[in-house]
Amino acid sequence: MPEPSQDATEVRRRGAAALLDTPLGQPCGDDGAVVEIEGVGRAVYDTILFDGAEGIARLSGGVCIEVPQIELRLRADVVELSGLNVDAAADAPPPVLRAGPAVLGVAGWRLRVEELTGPVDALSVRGVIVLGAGVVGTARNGRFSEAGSILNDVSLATSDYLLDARSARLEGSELVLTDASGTSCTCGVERYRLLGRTVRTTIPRLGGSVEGAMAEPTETIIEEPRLRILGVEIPLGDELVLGPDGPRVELPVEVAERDGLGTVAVLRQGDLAVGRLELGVASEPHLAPLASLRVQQGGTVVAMQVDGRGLDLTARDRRPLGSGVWAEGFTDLDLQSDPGVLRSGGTLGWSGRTPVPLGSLEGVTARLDVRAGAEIAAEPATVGPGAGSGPASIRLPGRADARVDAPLASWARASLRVTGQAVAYPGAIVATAASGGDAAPSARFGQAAVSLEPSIRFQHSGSSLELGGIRRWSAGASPFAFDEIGDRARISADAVLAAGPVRARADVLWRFAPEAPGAEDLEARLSAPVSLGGGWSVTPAVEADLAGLAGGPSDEDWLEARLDLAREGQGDRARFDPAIEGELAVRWDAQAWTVRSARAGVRGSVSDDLGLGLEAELEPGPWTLSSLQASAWWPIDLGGDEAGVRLVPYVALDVAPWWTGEGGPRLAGHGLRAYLRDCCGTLIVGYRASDDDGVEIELGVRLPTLELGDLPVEELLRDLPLYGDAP
Amino acid sequence: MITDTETGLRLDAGFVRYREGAFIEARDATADTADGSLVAPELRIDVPTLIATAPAGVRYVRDGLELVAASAELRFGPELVRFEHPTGASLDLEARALLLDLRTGDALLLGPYRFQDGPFILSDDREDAVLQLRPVTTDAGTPTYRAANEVDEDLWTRMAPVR
Repeated sequence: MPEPSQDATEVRRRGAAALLDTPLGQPCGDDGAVVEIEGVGRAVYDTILFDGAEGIARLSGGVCIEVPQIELRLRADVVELSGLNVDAAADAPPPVLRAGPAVLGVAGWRLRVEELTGPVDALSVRGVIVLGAGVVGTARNGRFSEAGSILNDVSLATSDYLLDARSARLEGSELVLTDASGTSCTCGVERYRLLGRTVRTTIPRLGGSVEGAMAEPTETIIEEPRLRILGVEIPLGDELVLGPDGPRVELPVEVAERDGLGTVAVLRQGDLAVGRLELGVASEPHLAPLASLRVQQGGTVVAMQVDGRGLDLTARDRRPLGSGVWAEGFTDLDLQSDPGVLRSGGTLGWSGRTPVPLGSLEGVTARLDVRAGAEIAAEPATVGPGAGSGPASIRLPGRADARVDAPLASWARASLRVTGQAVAYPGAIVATAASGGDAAPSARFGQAAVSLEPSIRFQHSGSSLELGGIRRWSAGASPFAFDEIGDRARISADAVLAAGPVRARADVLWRFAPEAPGAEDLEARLSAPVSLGGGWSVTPAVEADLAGLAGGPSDEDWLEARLDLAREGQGDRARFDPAIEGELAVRWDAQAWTVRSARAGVRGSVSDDLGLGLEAELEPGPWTLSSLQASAWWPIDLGGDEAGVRLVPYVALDVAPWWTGEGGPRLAGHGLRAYLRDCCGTLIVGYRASDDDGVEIELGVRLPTLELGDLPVEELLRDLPLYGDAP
Repeated sequence: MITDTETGLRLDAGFVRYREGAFIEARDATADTADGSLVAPELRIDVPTLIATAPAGVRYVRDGLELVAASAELRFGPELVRFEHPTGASLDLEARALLLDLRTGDALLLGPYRFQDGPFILSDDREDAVLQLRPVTTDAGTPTYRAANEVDEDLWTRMAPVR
């Protein structure tokens, strides 16, 4: 037994939180009065009354019971056992246990219960208080058995979260809350609440030293998450992950770049798999509202989008008819393109896949897709003086697509795709007028095409070579732009080399007649990073984009040599530990072999919120400073630890005009990021505008991780106060 | 064989030495009391106090209880017996001492003790521990005990002569 003075010191050392931890992590004492019940466990107590004739026992005074089969350890003042049959047969029911107020540790739970009753292998509890390392809570009732542990109507509070759930189960080391909700607003003002069908979080099994008793942050996964804010529930997709890096969630608000629409900001409601509505604005082709609705039920999809380009409406219903046969009815109205397209009709198809015996080759498969349909199609011009007019016709398309895949070896795979397609236009081709009035007869058209697409791919470790080609023969013509199928002959090669740190890639796509012969793509790059130690690395690289020299896009005519220098921060917040990126690059005109430009830049940051950058670009003939851009971003903190605002302004100035005497510095970029921090978490909003990247908008939320601890590892006093005793 | 009318003791021994009003000494003795019998290689009965002592190798048998003990002291007046370091044969029982009321079958185990009844094992390793055992019978007729580690006042008083 420790010296009394040592006890007092030890008790003072332990904080109030530790005193809440009942000594459930400690085994029941192994001296004093003990009863062992075969098939049940053992108990220590002060007094016992056992009646073998009645099969009952009453244990009282600091009772501690261990039931290994459900990992239960119970401490109570009084425990009553019944069904203790000294005539016990092998299949006798287990004894029944009843206790009043008790504290128990069972399967990782630490609980104080008002009442506990039931067979020792299936205990029921009522009036539960959950006590743990960093968590307290209540539950209306619960049940512990070999099948699992469950608590019902649970409320839990951690240092960062308040949680409620219809039930809580322990599955291994994972805590699963069902029909759960929670908020990180722990200071009384609940600004939001997250709801989910289930919430899963891992309870780390602690071990090792007292210092290691704080649980490592773990991920919490919320299924079917919803956000309740200002009384409105907003679905957040299928899953929300609260991890050490913050929440990963499909936010109801999206700000992103989209093809043809520029920067889009939308408020999103619903799930893509069932139904989704988006309302917002798009910056291109001109600033205009955007509304998008998509509803899906089984094989039926209805989608509509209106934005600055016009209306796009699609409705299709696809149904399987068995044996791989399917039928589809559809209507597409696309007035966003010029010309627009209206198509409405039906398609019957068959899809199948089968293994192909091909000599000694194993795993060869063939996939066949055949379809034929009938539709009406119209292609009105949507802009210009001819708006509204365009061809219209009945259209009968058919297509057969066969593809054979053959694994030649573990490092080689070949495929061949053969496609045949034909479209007929029975009846008259007419031109529709803007108001649907005049219809001018036109010639009948029809077209057909066959294409072959062989390819072969070799792969070893991180290196690969893929060779492919396409040859298409076509005949006839179509009145519709969307229908146009031309002759084509192209070959392609894509080679990737990974040898140690060296990375090289070459990508070629070459056109042959009847297209204008030449390169569609002709690119190569080579890089070899070298670590210099201390977090520093340097990466020399050369890159060439030469398609412009062989009939490709005219701006693809350059070579570049580049030297990147980088230092990664070591994550040491206690000392100055910046991350640094530097670049030195020279670009040559590949045709004239003259220097086109040279640029150099360096960018250092201590954190996401504090840094400096300097970038310069020089152009020859004679050499002039075309750009000298200095940028800085730094934090301004307002408020205290509990709540406050951090503003991080960003400014980029092009001082080249001032340097060259052509004028004053020019604002080349600006931005502001704001962290709005309170007891709920941190809301991040910001924007950054620059000459190079346009406008970027940032919106994010930073929530604390949910941490639940296991039984304490701290060595408790040897001579513990038992339940009912003064501590 | 000797039968004592005052105590009801029947003593059967291979060798008996008797001094009237003083003592009875027996070897290879079997002493039958009202509810059981005690077998010991040596047995001495002090006639004035009516106390029998068996200093070694004691074996005792009664309905529901069979044990061996290092020694025993039997008091004919209150019909109490104290067995030192008993070990059960019919019962899984070990103790520093067993105090037995021959009339009722009530017993006290003095700690450290270990007592098993069916699937239950009661034990206490402390010197001052006591376990009270009162014989009962289940509905199925199986002899068993009512056990408690807090001794009833009347039994504690009754056992005073052999405590």
